[in-house]
Amino acid sequence: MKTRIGLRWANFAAALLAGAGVAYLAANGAGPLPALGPTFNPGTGVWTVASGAHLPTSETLHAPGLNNPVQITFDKNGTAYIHAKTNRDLFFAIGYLHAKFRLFQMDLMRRQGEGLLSQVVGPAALSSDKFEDQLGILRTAQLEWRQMSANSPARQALLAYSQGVNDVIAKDTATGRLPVLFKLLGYQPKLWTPVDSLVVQGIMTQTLDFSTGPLDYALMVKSLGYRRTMSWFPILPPDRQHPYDPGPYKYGGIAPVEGPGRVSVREAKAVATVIKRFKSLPKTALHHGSNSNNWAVNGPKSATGQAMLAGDPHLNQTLPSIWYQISASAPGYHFSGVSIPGLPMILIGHNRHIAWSLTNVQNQATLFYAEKTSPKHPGAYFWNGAWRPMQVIHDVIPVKNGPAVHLTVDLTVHGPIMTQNGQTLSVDWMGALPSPDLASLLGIVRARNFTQFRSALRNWHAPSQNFVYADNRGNIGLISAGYYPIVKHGDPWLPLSGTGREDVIGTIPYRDVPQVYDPPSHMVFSANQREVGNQYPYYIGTTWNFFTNGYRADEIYHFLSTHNHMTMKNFATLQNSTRDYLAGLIVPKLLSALRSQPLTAQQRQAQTLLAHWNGDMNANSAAASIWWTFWTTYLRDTFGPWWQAYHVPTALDSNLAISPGQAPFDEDLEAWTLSDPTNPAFNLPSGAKRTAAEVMRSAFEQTIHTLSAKLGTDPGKWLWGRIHFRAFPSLAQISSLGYPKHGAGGDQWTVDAADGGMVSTAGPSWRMIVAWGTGAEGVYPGGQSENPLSPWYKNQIPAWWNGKYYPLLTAAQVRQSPYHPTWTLKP
Amino acid sequence: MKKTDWRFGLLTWVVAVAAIWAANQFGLWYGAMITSVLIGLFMRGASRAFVVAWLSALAGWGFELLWEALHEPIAGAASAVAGMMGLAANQGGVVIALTLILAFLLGTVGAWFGVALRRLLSSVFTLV
Repeated sequence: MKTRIGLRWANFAAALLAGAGVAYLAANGAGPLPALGPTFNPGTGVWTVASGAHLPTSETLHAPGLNNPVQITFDKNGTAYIHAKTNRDLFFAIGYLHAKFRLFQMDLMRRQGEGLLSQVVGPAALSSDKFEDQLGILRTAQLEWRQMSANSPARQALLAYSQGVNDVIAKDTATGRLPVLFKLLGYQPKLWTPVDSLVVQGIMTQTLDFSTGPLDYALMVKSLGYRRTMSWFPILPPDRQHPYDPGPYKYGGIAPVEGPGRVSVREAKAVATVIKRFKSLPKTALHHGSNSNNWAVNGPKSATGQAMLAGDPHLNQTLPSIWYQISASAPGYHFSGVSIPGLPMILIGHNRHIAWSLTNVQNQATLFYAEKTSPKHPGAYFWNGAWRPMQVIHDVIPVKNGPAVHLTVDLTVHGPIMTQNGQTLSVDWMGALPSPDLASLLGIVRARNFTQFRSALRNWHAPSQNFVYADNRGNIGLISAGYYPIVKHGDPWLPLSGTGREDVIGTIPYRDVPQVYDPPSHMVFSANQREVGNQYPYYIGTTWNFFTNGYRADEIYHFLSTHNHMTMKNFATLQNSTRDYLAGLIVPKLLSALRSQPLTAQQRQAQTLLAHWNGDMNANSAAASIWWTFWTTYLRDTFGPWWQAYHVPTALDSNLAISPGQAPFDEDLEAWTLSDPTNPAFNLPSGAKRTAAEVMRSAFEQTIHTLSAKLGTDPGKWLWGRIHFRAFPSLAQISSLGYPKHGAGGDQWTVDAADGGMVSTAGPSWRMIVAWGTGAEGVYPGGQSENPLSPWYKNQIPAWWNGKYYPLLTAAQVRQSPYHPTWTLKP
Repeated sequence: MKKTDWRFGLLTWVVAVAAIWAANQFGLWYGAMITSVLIGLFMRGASRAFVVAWLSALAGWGFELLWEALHEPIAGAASAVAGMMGLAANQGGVVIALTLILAFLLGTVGAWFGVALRRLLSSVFTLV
């Protein structure tokens, strides 16, 4: 009897143990396994991704945070048309929509900016979190929030927007309908705050504005020497460019900023340390060559005589896209365009009177300071004649599946210390200063004319942007708003002295920043080229840091200046143009260098392909492959021997690698090839003489050899689309959720830009054309929903790929279409 | 098996499936385990209890997937989740299998615990 009871106790204990083990695993997961119970529960787990993919139907939804009912109608592509009776309810509805369709994306963006990625993805994100904690986007956002007056429209908009987001978070959490990635990662989003929105603004500023130029220069000066560095990477470009504001210019002194030559071994060590850290950061942490186009015409340039505008911001092309398209009407607002999930207003679009779009100014906005420190004064730095204590901030970074990391951030008057290895190096970044961007955007959206538009941008500080403008009265303009830091002394393109003598003393006054209005040419355009000519009296950056090589701007200038009576179709042709402007300049020189040279049959065939080529980097063009491979080889053959001889540390800093798209390499080689073919740079460091023609011939031979090895012996089959691709990766870096690579046309400086290398993952993230009196249209490579099963996940990609557009309709037009489900949100 | 036993088993199964399904709608994934504990505790015959618990847990979770598959892209959801978990996108079957195995496990440990507890209690009370 006792044995039987003993066995039953043992059985009970085993059952208890097994039950507890399974329950624990199901409730908490283990290692990489998520909590299995909540994750796979068919009622509220990952399976809800299927029901969440349904397109909206007409229904009434309860939204307790509203004051009045709001109507949201969807068109067949998912664009949302909001009709609200109060401005507050409009911003609430935008928040509601963003959260309904992009909540995980929003949470990911705020986590990146707030240094909280490790909390949900583990130690892999620690380098990013530490960097963001140091840089201080969250600190800036908190300061911006504190500085907003209680009654400011921006504050009201942020509060209403947050409430809209939180209505969705609360409801979807309660019903188990949160996006699937929350479930797989095993966490629930915390409620949204206005500071979160300002952090998202900060992350965008960082992507567009934070650069490592002075660190790159420091490494080059250390290896190549100051003279050679400044000769090959000068402040002003050596080639002929097309600034949009050709002057004349006035020097109007320096306006205050609201807020606070040579490289030593210690500095170089510190620079190397910081550069090493940057290598482990996500792609969006630094500016990585994602650029943009915009232009406008009026008068005889337009078929109708009315103003026309085009804009295509080039950003990382991800799924879901950075953009969410909305159209809205409320008592104070009537607009249509694209918004960034997390921000309560469109960035690009039009209202009833004006249209606008953005490109990056690319001026230098990041300065590095070598702080003077001493073991005799621990925790202090020398500034303006005295030792001052560094401000110390202690942060704790929670880490999933690991212990929390404690981080200490030291701040000087210039900004956060990035390293103390060798030399104490701090960073002074314009994006760390409060910038009332939302207030500016609200002003733009309500503007009726250029005066109001220009006035709205007065306080836009970062990221500095070229705002193109066209209104319904036939006026056009362009203004490069933002901070342009001016230093007291020193070379701002190198790390500066932190003792106070090389501090930022102000910015270019707003009236003197690059701008034009109704120019006699009837056209304005920007494509990240240097906005002003060489006579501009202020320093705004060098060729390296970080204006583009200007070939997109040259192509746009060429197109607009040679066309009159343009239509939307002309603008679409230009936006989708894959013509390589540089090829048009250099290929004739190459053909000339090859003339009367002994060539093999294969080389002759390649030469003939180039001779009959129009410069179009079409996916089906063999000449395009030959040109690009040639230019890459020509660059490497010219600069490579010097890089090798002077040990330029390309392994440490990949920015220093010789590659197309690094503006000064292209500009130098273009200028030398066209007008200085015996430039000493063509010689070898050993002293052996070479000319441009000789280097070109050698590069051409290598090109044929390279392409033969890669694509076979027949040059006619060396199609560009076989070696050049586009892909749209998933924002969460999950390969199956991305759009796989396909052979594609374009290159880094065609108007239809393909940034990011031979598998391009950046480029036109939104294409928009507005023709006053005719209509407006737009498209982006993605879809409105982040749910990978939704028909709106990537539905716009085929149209984008084929150069098509969708009309930007009014709500009334959408309601007349057969498909127009409407949500009625009721308080 | 007596006819009444068979009917009782069927009734228990129907009630258990409904309870598990309802619990899942509120995120109570452990409903399958609790229901199985009760089956093990109150149903006579260990093997019968196990069978009813397995069938209840599998049906409570599986029928919902089947039902949803009639009007939702469940196969697509399985593929998408497989991709998110780092599996190949064509391994959606693994996700479905994982879901059903989990239901089966919850049913098993629940029934086992219920049966073991019943036996222990009956021994203890007999002794007393």
